[in-house]
Amino acid sequence: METTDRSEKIAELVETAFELEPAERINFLDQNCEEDVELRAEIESLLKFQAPSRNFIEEPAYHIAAETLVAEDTSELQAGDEVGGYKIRSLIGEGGMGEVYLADDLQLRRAVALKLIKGVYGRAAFRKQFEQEERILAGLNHPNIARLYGASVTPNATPFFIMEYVAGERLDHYCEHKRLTIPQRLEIFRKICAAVSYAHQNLVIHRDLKPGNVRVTAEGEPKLLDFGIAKLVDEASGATDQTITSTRAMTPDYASPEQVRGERMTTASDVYSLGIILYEMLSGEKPLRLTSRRPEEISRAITETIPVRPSVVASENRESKIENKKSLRGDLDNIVLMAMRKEPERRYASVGQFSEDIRRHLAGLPVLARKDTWNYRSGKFIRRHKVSVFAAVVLALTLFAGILATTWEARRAEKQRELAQRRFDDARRIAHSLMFEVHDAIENLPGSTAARELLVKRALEYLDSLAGESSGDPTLQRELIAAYIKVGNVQGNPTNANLGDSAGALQSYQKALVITEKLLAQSNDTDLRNSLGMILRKVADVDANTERVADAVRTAQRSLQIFRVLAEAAPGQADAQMNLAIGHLKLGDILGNPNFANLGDQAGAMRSYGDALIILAALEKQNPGDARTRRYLGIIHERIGTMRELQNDVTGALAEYQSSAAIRVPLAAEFPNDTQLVRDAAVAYEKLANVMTAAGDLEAALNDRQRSLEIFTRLAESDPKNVLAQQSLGISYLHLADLLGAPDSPNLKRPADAVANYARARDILLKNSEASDKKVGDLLQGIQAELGKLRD
Amino acid sequence: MAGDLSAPEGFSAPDVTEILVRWRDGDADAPAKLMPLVYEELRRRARDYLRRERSDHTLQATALVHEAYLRMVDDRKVSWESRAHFYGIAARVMRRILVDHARAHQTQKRGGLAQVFTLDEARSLPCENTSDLVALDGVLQNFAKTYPRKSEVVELKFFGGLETREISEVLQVSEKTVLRDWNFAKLWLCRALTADAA
Repeated sequence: METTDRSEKIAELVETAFELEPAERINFLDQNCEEDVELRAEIESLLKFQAPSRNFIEEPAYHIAAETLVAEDTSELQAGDEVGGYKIRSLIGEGGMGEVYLADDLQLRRAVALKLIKGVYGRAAFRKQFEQEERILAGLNHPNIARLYGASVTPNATPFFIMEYVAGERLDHYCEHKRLTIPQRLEIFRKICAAVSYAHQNLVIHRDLKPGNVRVTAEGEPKLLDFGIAKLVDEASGATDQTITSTRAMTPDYASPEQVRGERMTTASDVYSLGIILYEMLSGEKPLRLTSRRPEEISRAITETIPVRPSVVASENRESKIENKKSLRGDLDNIVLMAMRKEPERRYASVGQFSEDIRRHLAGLPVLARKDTWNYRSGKFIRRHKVSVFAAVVLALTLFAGILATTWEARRAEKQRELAQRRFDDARRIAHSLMFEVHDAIENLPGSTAARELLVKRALEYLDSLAGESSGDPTLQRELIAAYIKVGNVQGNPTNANLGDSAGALQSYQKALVITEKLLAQSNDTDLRNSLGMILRKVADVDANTERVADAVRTAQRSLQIFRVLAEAAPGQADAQMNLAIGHLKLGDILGNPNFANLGDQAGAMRSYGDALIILAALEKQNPGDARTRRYLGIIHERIGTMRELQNDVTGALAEYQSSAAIRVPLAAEFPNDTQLVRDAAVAYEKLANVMTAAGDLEAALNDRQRSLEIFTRLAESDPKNVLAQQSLGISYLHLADLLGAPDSPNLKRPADAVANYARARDILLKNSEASDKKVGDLLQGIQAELGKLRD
Repeated sequence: MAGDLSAPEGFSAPDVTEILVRWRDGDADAPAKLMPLVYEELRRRARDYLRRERSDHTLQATALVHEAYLRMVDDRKVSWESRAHFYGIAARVMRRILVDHARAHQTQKRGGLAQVFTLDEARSLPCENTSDLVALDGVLQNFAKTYPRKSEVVELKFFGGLETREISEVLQVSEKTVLRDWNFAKLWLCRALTADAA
């Protein structure tokens, strides 16, 4: 303790004295050292070095020593050195992983290649990994694969591999030097494929295929070096199999998109690298022409840049001595580019398939590879290939995630502002397209729920990141408001097809709300207030749907108030009037419409509907024939009809439903391609049928049911993948069956027809429901019950 | 096609962020896992730098460590403590790289470092003449026994190239303290080296 205290005291006094003028210093020491001569001597001894140490270690060590880091000879072993029974002859190569020496195996008296692996610490870890892999790697026995004999460590604990020494030329040099023709190059390449394919069958992935890892012997036989070494090195240095992160230098020219993204590498990654090798063998150029050393640019090029066709590159490359470059056009272009596709799933399924396609080309047979017409930004792809929607969306998202990752990286690098902005805009545009185009394209497709969930999840991640970066950018913030509303709708707004995630929807709306209110604090403009009213309306929709009716009513009233103010400020403006009318309509629904969660306030509902009707009627007068106004008039008459029905006013209900049908049926005829309007007409017939049944006019009801069924059939046929359309058709059959013979309600006493229609309804619903679909489940149970009763 | 034997400049995809996060959450193995990653990165960068910017006299180790950080760590996912951890590790790694190299060159009697140091001979300052990284590393180890924090200041500043402000963040002391530690350490080390040489 005492020495520590004394050391501290020395340091403290020296540090203070250090900052004093010499004259003051003496006084200071006199006062503080008192009689302690030793202490004073120690302090003075140190202070003596003030001048000599002025520049001492002020320059960073790195600066001083940097020269030696690149001193011409940094190799660890020298000719004549002996390690573990091997005698070094010479350094023959240096690569990303370490140094390669030619050495003599003193016991077996043969030349071997000794490969030092640098930057791998921890002998034990390395040994453990190696033992696991050794048998597999050493067991790779193929004429085109250089054998791995073993491994050990130098006295400095640097691990090394002992491999078959291949006296040969690098693949690219060999092709050039021998001036091989295209078919000759393809034959060599197919031998390489055979070797890789053999390794894949033995569950070994190369992971680091490049021309430097392929030697061609004097006999013209290619030999692949370093099979499986990359993985061993990765694992020895602590990188797990899932993330290929490693101390090993990647070779970006040959690295696959999944590799730069840090995803799992598979046999498809080797297919990709082979594609690049072939590209280079045929065109004389590297496909991506990486000019930047910046990782974010390199990874962008690898994950995004679509390479120019090899035939084009070859024809422009005057130095290339390949003959008959024209023969690259077509099949070979397609074959090479298919192997190099960004998405592993879209490459050749195996190296064998890749090689086989080349064989077919050589034999003049048609090949598998086609020109790539993929454009992930377009929803068209999804419309054309509805079956694999999920895969397509996942793919689009994967690509998108890659773009996003590089975007954020780029954004962080200050010097790259301009580039960053461009990338940022790209990501913004693509994400917008994902949410607003891709989503809408898949919305009604069967089995798209999982894809849509993923889409929403990704979109939210994206939006949240953007939101963090958006301050000071009002345009972006307005975009974000629209996007959050859209995401909220998809998550859980009951007025459209949704994923049933009410809580998520409310969160998204809340985010939109926060941004809107923040912007409103700055400028009180009409658009923003409109957005505010819209968000509140959506929140009320969700609240009502989750049985929080009182909250919903309060929020709907707030929304209505906003739209009222906006409408009063612009009396001649149809949109403002329309929003006000819809506000009344929505409020009426939750005040007392039995088809919605409601407060039971029927009088209030009627008042609201009445207000809506007055505004809509005025709009219709102002703008006769306007489809949207007519559509809402159709809705409001239906709503009022429902209320009349509830009050047992059958005549009044019938009048309203007839008014509704009188608007909806011609509207549907006018816009036969507008699914929504056509559907509305069918609903109008259903309502008429209901009230006719209640009134006891079963024949009239049957007529209406048949018309409604007709329309639902047409809708279902025109969009066979649309689950909702199919379900509606099923329900329509169910209602018809009820009318024909449901034992417990007024019916036409045609039990056989009822059974047939129940069966149809059941079959359609069974085919078009997901297991989790409770509503359909209930309907199916109901049908079984009716069928049971009818059989009894 | 490229004709040289050396592989193109590579880069490693970092999962350093993850390790830093785990470190903060109490993973005691984290420093050991970080070392080789940072080692390789810094070593490669050092070479790369020198090849391209040999003539640039503004070359700083601090840039090296900063860039390594930016390249290897996702700044959005780690706290400032993690950045401090990283800088600490990076400085230690730099020390190891530089001292190992100096030692390798000494034993091979190539005199690489000695030659570099004589460039500064014009100043004729005793400590600089006696400086070599291996000796400095030795006296720094002794210094650390009595003054562990002050020796860390030297490691961070001299080997890691960090600025005073950053050092104060890493060590959680004031900048004033860092400067006082630094002044004292220089005196102490300079004296020790002179004594060794005598």
